Amino acid sequence: MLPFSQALSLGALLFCFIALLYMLLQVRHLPHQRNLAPPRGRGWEGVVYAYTKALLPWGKESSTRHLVSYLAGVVFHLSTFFALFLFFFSFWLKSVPTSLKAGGSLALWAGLLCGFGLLLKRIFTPYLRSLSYPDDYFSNAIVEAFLLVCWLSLREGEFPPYFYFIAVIFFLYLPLGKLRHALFCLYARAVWGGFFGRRGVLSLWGVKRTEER
Amino acid sequence: MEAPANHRLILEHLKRKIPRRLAILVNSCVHCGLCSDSCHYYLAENKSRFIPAFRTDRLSSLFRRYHTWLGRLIPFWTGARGVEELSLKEFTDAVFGECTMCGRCSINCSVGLDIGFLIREARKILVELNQVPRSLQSTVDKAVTTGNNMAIKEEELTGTIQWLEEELQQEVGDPRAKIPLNKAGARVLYTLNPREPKFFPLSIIAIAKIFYAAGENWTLSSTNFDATNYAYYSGDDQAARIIARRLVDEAEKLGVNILAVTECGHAYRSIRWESPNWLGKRFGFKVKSILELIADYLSEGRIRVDPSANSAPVTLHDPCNLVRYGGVVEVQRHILRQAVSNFVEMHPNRENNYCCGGGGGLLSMSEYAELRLKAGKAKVEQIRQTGAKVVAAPCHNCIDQLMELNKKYKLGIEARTIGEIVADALILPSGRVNPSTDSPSKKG
Ligand code: SF4
Ligand code: SF4
Repeated sequence: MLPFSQALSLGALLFCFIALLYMLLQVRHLPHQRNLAPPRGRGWEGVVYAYTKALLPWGKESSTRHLVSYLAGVVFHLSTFFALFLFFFSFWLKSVPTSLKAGGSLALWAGLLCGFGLLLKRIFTPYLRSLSYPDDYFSNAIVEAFLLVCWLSLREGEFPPYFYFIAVIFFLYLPLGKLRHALFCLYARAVWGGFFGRRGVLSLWGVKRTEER
Repeated sequence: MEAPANHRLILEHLKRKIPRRLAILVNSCVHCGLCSDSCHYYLAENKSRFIPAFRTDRLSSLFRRYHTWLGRLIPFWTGARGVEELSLKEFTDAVFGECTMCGRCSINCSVGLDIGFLIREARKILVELNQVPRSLQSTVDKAVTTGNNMAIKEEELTGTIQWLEEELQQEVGDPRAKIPLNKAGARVLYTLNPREPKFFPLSIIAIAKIFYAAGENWTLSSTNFDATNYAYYSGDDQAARIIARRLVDEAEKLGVNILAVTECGHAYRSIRWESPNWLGKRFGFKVKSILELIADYLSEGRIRVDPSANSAPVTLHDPCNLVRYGGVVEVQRHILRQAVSNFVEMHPNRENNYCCGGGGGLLSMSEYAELRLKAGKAKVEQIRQTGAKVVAAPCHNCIDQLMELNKKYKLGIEARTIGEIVADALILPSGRVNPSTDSPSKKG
């Protein structure tokens, strides 16, 4: 029998998964315009570009210009993936291996600091504040809470119930608020790459298409 | 928000006409604001309302209100807003008057949101509410009812073409040089921006000269010559379909292999990329920008040019719908490197180039003229930094905006089409370099 907190977190994860799947299916049912114009470039090349070159700090003007924010965002996201990884493995690991403690703590702290920095930026930069709603602040806060309990668990060497309770809130909120971008961003990025790749605007090798295919 | 009838129309639209791509995109914006300084409006005015994500948020907030769980339950939490909270005036200003749908933010969005697409989707809603700015709507209406956006009559066009043909014959010194009209079986149907026959006829001569030198089998249509499609800008798919169908029918009737689009960004995008979708069919002919044909002629040795005829420093503007959204990126550079002796790139360039501020139908919306000229500041700075005396702009709309910017900001440049620049450097089949070296058509 799983302890109550663990069972609850698995229930929340299941809810999160089903809700995201439902949203995805809903979106898939919306009208979609097929592209009938002959391509100039390759859609797949654009998708690969979107997931490789475009992610580099110098891949887009926006990331180069806002390098610190961009890198903070990257670290915050990587750290969150690491925390999720820990969550899944916590069901198998009775205690945290020492090899994971130091490196893991560092990753989580880096994520926490970056996330907090981004939160401060959102609060104190007028133009960002004008773009933000309670959802934006709460989403940041819940992820940070998740990172924090992850770090505390690493420090204590085991995963206490509060770790799972925070995970419950995290998974329940994920499909409801802005955190659902976790799913849709993957989709949007592929759509972006496919669109501009097909039009011959994005090219992996820097050679723009001069001829239609 | 005003009348309940409008509420119903918007709700109906949100219920039935939301495309998949829109839903994916509005679910993806993380409000990071990294797109802010991609936008020439924001750079010029530095106000929150000019952040790309802020503009699309009016549409996204409606989506959140009716299509998301939290938006339905506690709307304030996610910034979801219902139709009753929407100010039509603000919405119209944001999506028509304050965005050229240039897509520079789309290229630079940290996630990959196509803001230009979202803005057009928002415009579609305003089409249903009859809120398209009057000046833009009248341009669309003119095109739909008369066959071209300047209501040029067939006799008028034919008269202009006859006169231009005589000019052409004089310039090339060959009485057999022609500007063919309605020639069935031609390889190329060349289409125009109605501003050309109306105000800039010499840009037609320039292309006719290139066709003459290349020995091209081409034609113009005396009735369906208008390549532009302002319904693309207004967001009116039904009107866009009517306008596009005319060109397609004409190309099919004449049996051409290529429909060549004049130097006009949105015209190229509309017929090359959007029309097959609007009309629901693949075309039996190719759609090419005239630039692609000129580049082919140069590569194949069908025309030769003397770059010394264009010795002033020339820079190149990248029209958004031709380059960023059209994929015609390199051929214009290939052409200019051969046709001018001093070509200077502006920075940033290609898909990262700044919009001149005249796109998105803004040039025809006199309501927003003042802001349009302010928003052109980024372009003005780019041009200044090159030190160029000539700005090659393969788009008639951009040329109009550049001419206005030139006047307002005292740039001291000349804005010209690439066709005109090539025509000036053309080595005619008789061996002489084209005598007209100073086309008066597009002086700044
Ligand atoms: S960069 Fe993209 S994700 Fe970020 S605020 Fe702008 S549109 Fe939204
Ligand atoms: S599409 Fe162009 S004008 Fe519109 S918000 Fe983006 S950068 Fe600005």
